[in-house]
Amino acid sequence: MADRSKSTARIGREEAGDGPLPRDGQKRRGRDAVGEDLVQHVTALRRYALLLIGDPAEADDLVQEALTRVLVHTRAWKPVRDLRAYLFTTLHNVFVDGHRRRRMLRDDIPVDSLAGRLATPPSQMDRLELRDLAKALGKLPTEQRQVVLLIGLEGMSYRDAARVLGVPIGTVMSRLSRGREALRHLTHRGAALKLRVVK
Amino acid sequence: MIWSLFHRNKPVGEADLQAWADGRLPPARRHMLDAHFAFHPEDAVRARTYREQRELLGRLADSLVFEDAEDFRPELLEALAARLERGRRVRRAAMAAAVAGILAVSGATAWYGIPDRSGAPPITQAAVPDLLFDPSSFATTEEVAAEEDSIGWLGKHLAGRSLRRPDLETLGLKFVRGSVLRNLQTPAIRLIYEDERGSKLYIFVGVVRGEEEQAFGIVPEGYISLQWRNGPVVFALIAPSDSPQLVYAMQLVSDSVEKEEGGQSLEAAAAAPSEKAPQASAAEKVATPPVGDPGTVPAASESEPAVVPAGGEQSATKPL
Repeated sequence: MADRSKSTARIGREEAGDGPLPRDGQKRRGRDAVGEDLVQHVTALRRYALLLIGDPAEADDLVQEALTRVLVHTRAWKPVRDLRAYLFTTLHNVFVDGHRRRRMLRDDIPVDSLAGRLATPPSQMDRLELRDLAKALGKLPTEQRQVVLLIGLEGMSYRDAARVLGVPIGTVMSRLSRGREALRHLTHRGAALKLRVVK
Repeated sequence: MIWSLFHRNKPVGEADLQAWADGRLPPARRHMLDAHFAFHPEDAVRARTYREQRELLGRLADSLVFEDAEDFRPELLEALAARLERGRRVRRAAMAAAVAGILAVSGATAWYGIPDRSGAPPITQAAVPDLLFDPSSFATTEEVAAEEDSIGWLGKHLAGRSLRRPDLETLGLKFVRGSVLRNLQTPAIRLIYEDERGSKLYIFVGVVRGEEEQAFGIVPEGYISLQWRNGPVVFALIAPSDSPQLVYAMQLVSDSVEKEEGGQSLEAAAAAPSEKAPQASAAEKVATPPVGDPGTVPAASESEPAVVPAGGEQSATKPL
């Protein structure tokens, strides 16, 4: 069972960056390059999973299951060249398998649990914008949300996103287009831009 | 980039708007879209909104801070990091072997370091498969019940140094049996391992007593061979060409020898002056690992994240 007590994420890079981190700093210095890469990738996985699912504990469970699967099946004679793509692909497969097991697809993010963790943004306006975006993301179908997050949040190329999701690149483009357009209509920002054009 | 020059004059489409928002258009195409926007303000609004969505997502990503990022599942991450580091080491070893330029091509390989021993049957081309698969056809074979017997027997020919049976359990390869190959030109043993599918991996270990090199070794079609030499000891690994284990098995065999306790390591022995141990570096004699073997790691998806196979070509590790 995953340890959920530490599954906390919060907004505010400056808080984490400026805070006293002697213990973590020592860990970073003692960790080799592979470990450093892995921590960064795992953090990205957790971020993606959190925005995909919405529930932090469930997201961390998903990441843990993916990492375990990677550990069990990775073989040293076939070293992984693109670790990020490999991890995301595995996470996607675990996610899909989980949905298959549960025989259900939940196409909404329980936004409240996520929004509650978006703390201390630089400004109230930003906070509202990010909450708005998170809510809009939660209303996207999962397949569109995956593509929007992989490309928009993680900065993946269309080709890499297609590999991760196991779909043709045309499908990725189609989902991206529909997902972004839905977001445009769901967010206030999109509405505001519309209004400006009308003027 | 999917927007090549070939598509420069295609009409502006939906994918262009997305790519413009993501900054993934070539300059010429981007300029074309900028001009397009002047006449199609609705497209301009959409594309700019998508770009703002992307920027907002980036801020969201930057803002999500995991307080336990450094402490998340530490045991799991440590184990995974160790596994990945192991893979990198194997890759480096494989690349070094490739640079060494000793070919081990599926179907035909060259063997080095077998000295002549008068009175004994010569080891000729095509001998390795017979030797490994059916040693009774070529050499007097003595099957031993305990694998340590064959290892111990060969160890006597190493001037007091000892050998340890390579442990390939981590590869899913169980030791089946060992055999002493008598009446060859060189003291040698054969070790057989088997995976859960029943595929066998054969290891030939021999002791070299001179500098002579004798090439041999036609591997049957469908098999692949890794052959290298570490000081006075020569190794060959032969397995079906679709076996994914060879490169790593090579590493494990080498590690096993180098980590041997209670005696001088073979690597050190090779480096030390000795009338019996020819001075040949492992790198000079390491054979190129198999390239592009299809893997057998179970995978659920058709997609295939890039992995580095031995030799740097595309391998077949699939997502899990």
